[in-house]
Amino acid sequence: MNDKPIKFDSEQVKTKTNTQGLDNLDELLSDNTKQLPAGINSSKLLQPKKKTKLLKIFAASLSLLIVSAATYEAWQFIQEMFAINPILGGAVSTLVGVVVFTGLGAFIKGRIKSKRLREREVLRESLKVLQTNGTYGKAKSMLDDVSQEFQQEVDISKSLALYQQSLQQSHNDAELIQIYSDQVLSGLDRLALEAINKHATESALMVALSPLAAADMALVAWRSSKMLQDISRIYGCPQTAFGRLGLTKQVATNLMLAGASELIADASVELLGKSVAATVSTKVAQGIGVGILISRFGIQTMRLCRPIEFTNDNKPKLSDVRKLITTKVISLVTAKNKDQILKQGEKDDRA
Amino acid sequence: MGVKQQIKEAVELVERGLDKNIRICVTGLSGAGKTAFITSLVNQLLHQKASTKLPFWLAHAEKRIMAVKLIPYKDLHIPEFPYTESLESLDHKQWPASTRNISQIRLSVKYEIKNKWIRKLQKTSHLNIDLIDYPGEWLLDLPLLNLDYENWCRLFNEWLSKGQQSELADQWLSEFDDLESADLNKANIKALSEKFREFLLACKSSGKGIEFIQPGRFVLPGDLEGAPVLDFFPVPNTFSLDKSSEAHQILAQRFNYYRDQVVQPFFKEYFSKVDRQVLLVDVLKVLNQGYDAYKELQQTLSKLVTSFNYGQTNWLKRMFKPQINKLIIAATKSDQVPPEQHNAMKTFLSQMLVEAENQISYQGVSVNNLVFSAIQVAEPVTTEHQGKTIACIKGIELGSNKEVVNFPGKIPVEPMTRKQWKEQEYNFVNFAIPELATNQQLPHQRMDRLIELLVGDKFL
Repeated sequence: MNDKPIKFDSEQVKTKTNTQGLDNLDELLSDNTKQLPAGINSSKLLQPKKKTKLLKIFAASLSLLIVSAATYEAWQFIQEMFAINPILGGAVSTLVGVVVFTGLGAFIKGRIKSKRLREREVLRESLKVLQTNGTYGKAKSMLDDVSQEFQQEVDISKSLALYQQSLQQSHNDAELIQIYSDQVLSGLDRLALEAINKHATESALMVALSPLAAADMALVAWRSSKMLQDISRIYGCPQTAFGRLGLTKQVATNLMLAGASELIADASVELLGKSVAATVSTKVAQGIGVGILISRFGIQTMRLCRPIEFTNDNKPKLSDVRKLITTKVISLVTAKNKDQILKQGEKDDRA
Repeated sequence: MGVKQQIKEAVELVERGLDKNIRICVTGLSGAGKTAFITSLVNQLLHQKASTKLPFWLAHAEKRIMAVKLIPYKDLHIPEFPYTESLESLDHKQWPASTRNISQIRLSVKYEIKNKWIRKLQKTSHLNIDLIDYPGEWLLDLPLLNLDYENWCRLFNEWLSKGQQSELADQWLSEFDDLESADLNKANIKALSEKFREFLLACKSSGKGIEFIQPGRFVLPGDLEGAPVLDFFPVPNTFSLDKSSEAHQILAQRFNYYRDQVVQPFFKEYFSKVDRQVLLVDVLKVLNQGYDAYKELQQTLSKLVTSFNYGQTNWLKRMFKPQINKLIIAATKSDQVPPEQHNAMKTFLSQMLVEAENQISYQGVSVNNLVFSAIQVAEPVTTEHQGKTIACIKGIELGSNKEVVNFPGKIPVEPMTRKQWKEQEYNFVNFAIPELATNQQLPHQRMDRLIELLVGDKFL
């Protein structure tokens, strides 16, 4: 171990000013990271292996079959066209080429962005480890990468500048992550909450006003899908239509797996909202229920997209959204009732 | 009318409930950096308006701090903390002079209230922060309050037999060699006390980490210079003095006077009504000095810290009904250490004081550890050495005034044995003040965390 102190004359050695984020500090860090804090519940149930080998082979061969059949069909089609007229054949083959290229391109691009969501989970885990271990100089590059992803979708230049200004060379990873969460992510959280508010109130109103019960389901599906898209975009990991299905599934699973205490808290909020609303009308109560469900969906999505876990201090609360929805819906419905009464009154006057 | 009256009363009640004064006592042995800390704290608070370097002071991050100013305090007999003078000496590239007397400073912070219930009554409020600075030497008199003269002599002789101090004591002890106990009179008591004082001063200036220098006024008499109350000394083991002899009675009487008329009023006046306490510790000095210094500091601080404990039979409890509800133990001068070792430094600090911390936490006082630098004068850099990248500190060395790049050695994360202490070397360098713009916020490390820990919960 070469830990003896050394002192250099500053004119005789080259130095590099410490920016946060040195690459080769691993050796220096190794001792610090050995110390894991006690009492952290680090055990976790592993995901069951979903696909068996047989299923995998089946999926692969099926897709191969479909692709080859499609290629064969396309080939035959082009040949037929050529048989009719070479110009027609040429036009059709270019068309097929364009379709294949743009389709593949869009697919791959979407996949790359969608993949970010999966990477977020890994990132969240590793940032959490850095936060508890008291390391130095490792988080900066990770956070910079995330900032880049954000910047493709949202303008965060101001909060990013503030974050850069607040940084000091002495900050360790845990401090860095906290500053990032406070100064950069809090802005995104606010945006996401606004989006949730907007979509939740919108759908609450639609359900409250829609005459057809069957239409409610479609409305909810449509609005919630739109909301997922917005939120995932805010957090820099926009989802394709296909990816959104996966995200929806993930969110739904998370909602179901949410802790009992959370469920009770949420349920009481829902009940409170409904009991107030039920005094106005059952349809309004349904609307508010839907609104709250959608905001729960939204908050869960935030949790999945956010690169740093929420703490008790900054986690979004359902109660904030609930109040807004309830007041909006009730004020609108009562206004509508007022209109009806007025119209009724006018009719009576005429009669 | 009745309703208005009631509302007014309620407001008054709330205002009283929200104590708007907080008294912070800055504790630490001499050289721990108390004056630099208070200077920096006042500076950070006064320059908070445009600062982006305080992200961990939550009320500030939430933009709720409206203004901070220095205001006069009511205890007019206490000298004011020399804030302007300290800044001026920083301007002249000098560290502020060490504290020689007690002083106080009061800041008033105006802030917006966040709590939604209190907001209904008032939108803004203010918090007065009193900071008290005093010489660290005097702090060591605190354990004297529990002792009588004989017990003090016994403890002193125990201390004298150990460590570096036993070597330095030879000269003073030799004074007793050709002295009969019957010869001891007022005149040579004065002479011996003078020699005793010289011995204590030699301990202090030895640079070997001798901390437990008691009584504190002997090395820093303040306004007691030349007063007969300082003419006493403990009876060494090598000298036998009959307890009923006149000389013994004189010594015991003077000791009691010192304890009851000097030490007790001092602590009673300044430590009562203290809400929070910051204990500053210079761990780098003991790392430089080695195992003996480490043990000495550990024992000294433990004795001090536990003197503040609030058990049933404790004198502090009986005397002052203390309200201290928070203790922050902070390692200073973190700018001398590469940042990747700050965590190790914190671990080292908490391991050193683990027992004392336990005792205090058991009393229901919250104890926090922190590593910080009040005024950052050196910057972390990396350099290549023998093909390896090492994290160093660049700054102007105090004394030689040459710019150096220093790798101080690696702070252990596990407690070291005596042998490991010998093998492991450290060289933490004290740095001089570089060119600093003193009319703006001073550079610091984690002062914002300290502010949050100290007063953060008061900004409702």
